[in-house]
Amino acid sequence: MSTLDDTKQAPEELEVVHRKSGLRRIFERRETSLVLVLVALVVLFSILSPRFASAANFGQIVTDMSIVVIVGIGVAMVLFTRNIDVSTGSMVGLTAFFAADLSAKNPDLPLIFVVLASCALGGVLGAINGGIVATLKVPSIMVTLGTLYIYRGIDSALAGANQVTAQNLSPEYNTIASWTIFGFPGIFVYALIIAGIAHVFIRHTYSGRSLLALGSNPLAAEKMGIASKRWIFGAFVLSGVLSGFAGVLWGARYGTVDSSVATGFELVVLAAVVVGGVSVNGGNGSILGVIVGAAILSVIAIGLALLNVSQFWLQAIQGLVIVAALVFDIFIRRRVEARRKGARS
Amino acid sequence: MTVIPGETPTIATQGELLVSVSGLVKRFGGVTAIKNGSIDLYRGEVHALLGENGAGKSTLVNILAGIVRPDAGTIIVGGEEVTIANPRQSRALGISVVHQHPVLFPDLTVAENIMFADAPPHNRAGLLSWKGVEANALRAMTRLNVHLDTSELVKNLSSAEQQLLEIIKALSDDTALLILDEPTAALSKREVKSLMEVIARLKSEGVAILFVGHRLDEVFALADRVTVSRDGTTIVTGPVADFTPESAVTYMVGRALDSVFPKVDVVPGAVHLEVKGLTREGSYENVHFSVRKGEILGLAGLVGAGRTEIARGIFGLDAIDGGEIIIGGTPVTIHSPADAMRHGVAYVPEDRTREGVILDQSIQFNLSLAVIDTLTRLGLISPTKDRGLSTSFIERLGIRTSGPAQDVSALSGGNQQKVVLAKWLSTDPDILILDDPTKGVDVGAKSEVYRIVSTMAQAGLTIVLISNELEELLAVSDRVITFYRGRQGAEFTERPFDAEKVLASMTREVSDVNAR
Repeated sequence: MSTLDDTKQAPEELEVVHRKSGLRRIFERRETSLVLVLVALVVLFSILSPRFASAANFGQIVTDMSIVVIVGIGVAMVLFTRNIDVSTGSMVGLTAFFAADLSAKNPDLPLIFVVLASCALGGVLGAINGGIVATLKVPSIMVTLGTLYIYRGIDSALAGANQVTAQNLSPEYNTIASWTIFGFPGIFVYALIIAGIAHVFIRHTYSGRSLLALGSNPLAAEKMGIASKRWIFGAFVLSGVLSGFAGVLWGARYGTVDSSVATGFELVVLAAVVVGGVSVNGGNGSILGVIVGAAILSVIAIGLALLNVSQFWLQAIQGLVIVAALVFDIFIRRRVEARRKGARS
Repeated sequence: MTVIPGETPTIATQGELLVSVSGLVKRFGGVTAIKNGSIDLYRGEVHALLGENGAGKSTLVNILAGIVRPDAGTIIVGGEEVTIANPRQSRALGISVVHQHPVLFPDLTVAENIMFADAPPHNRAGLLSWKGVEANALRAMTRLNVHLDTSELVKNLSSAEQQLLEIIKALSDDTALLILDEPTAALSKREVKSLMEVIARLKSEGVAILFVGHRLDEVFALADRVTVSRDGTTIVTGPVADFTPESAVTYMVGRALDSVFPKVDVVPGAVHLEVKGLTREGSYENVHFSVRKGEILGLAGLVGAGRTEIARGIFGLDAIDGGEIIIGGTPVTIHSPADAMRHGVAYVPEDRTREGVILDQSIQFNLSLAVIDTLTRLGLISPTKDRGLSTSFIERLGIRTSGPAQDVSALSGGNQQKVVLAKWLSTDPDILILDDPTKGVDVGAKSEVYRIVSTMAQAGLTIVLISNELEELLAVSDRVITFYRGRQGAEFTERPFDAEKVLASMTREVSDVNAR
């Protein structure tokens, strides 16, 4: 109703105070220091082991990290909303057996149908998580810890002592993850496509920004009229759907599916996501960070394997390197932060 | 004189009736927040809504903002009865709300925060148009004539910048009613001035402005009409000329206050706290003062003058670079709050929610925190002693609560502040440093806090008081020292103090103010 004189001025002509240059912005980005950590690790392992810097080995690393990225994207969405999903290991396990068993028992079923069915089952499992969290307001850590056991229990009951092996599966099923394009394995291509879509969603859509916003300040989201419940539910469903897809890939990649598939995998995924800078307090993080986080964990795991670290010590050293990488990352960020503060005052 | 709701207002109003609220009722569980709320808002008027905390002001604001829905009552906007179901609908009706506490997303940028208040611009691909988001943000900022970096994350902004952003967000081209819920709490004088200019400009354009607050000086400077509510009921409404600050307070608290800030005369005892040449690089330098037992020393100054830092230095929260602290005639070294407490110092910090109390815990938990080691029996915490401590303080300080087990977060601001006071009084201090003890609490609670402080002075405590409310500081202190940018200014020893001289000294508008 009221037009102010000032607003008639074209916005482009306005002078903006202390605007940052593009380069400075890159250095302030959370992911920049993580990429530096990743590069440092690659250089370190290349020096320590001549076999590390080879095409075959990099193929191994990207294959290894792909399932973590796929599941990690769903978990990141949940973390953005200031919730957590620790049930992914069991969701992957249950859907992996379901999909492999379905395909083995119905060899004529088109593979796409198996994939969709597995994703749908994952979606239902995620919807159970999300429904309880969003409507009953039970803390998500409790809900998903509970379903971690429930879903694993269903998996065990379903699978019993049976296992599905590569021989029971169709050739298409067995190669769904391992076909290559320009040397990149298919499983990595899936991860990149999903990451690309997720990135555009989070960065460039109103819905994506709403998801981050409600995690950043739930109270403000309520006052701004953001439908928080719906987004929280949606994030959990997505986490389930991606776990369902990862379940199919798991069977294809490892060739053996029994009731213990992906046990403990939820912690690997959470580690990658958190190393990748996604805040457990919600509202902060990026899909790029998830990829870098998964890459850092894979580089460490494979690098240490090539160094012939004793099996007994492997896990301890792996943990040590992760902590060291994070300390290095925080060190870099503090320096950037100090500089930023210096520039402001 | 004043108009009782229900009767037709006889005063001339600047414009047509825009929003009319009547018979409003809102209950939260067993608590009735609004019993009978009514208010009429006209185009082109600044309407002040006054009331103590708990009077139902914020609930009324939230109803108009579409955040809560009333149980009964009618809301008429532009001649039509409406139901406001959600914040978007409220905005669509031309209602813009600036909330008391900034409703911002700290992890998102300035531009994005503005986007969430507006319709988001999309490009042809159906994605957010960042150019549009940016342009909208810049356009919104020109309305207020402020320029923040649109790409800065909100968590990196100062609290004043955040408050400005909140106002920027609220205003739109369609704003017909602007509601400001205590907007000036975090703003500096200069920013308040620019806010006043914006309000004047919007008013001249026919926007109705509802100003919710309890800073009476601002209300009387700004408002055309005043409505006072108490206990969820609208008490009076009328043109500002019909009110005086005293009568407004009387309506707000429901009884005439002889004096809002009681001052009990105490004959001061011996000097108990003395600082000599106290210095902290970059914060304050060469500070000298002494305080007697039973005396209240007021430290006056603008925000950032170093008063809080001096208090933190004495309490051992920050290291001091030079100077001496003398307590009871003996120089002492204080490196930590534990040292300070050993010497009988208690410090009630400025930001009570961050440093003073644990909101999610009970009154009992908070009160026993500082003295838990004295509440034991056979080495274990004695529930009887623990409870006894809380009950006695709840009674002594008049904390309005359902009991010691109630969470502090459920209390009003004034009662929270009493819990903070009680927590420190439980340590049985000789020296009490109070940093802005009435920040964000209403007149009634202020009065009670100062009554308690006066009683403490009577009991022989040595009190150092810091307050940003000069009026209060001058009413309560026995002596006042001014500070300006970390330097000590004049000392005023004779009550009643000359407010203008004190103000001149703390703002250095006069280069040399002589101590009187």
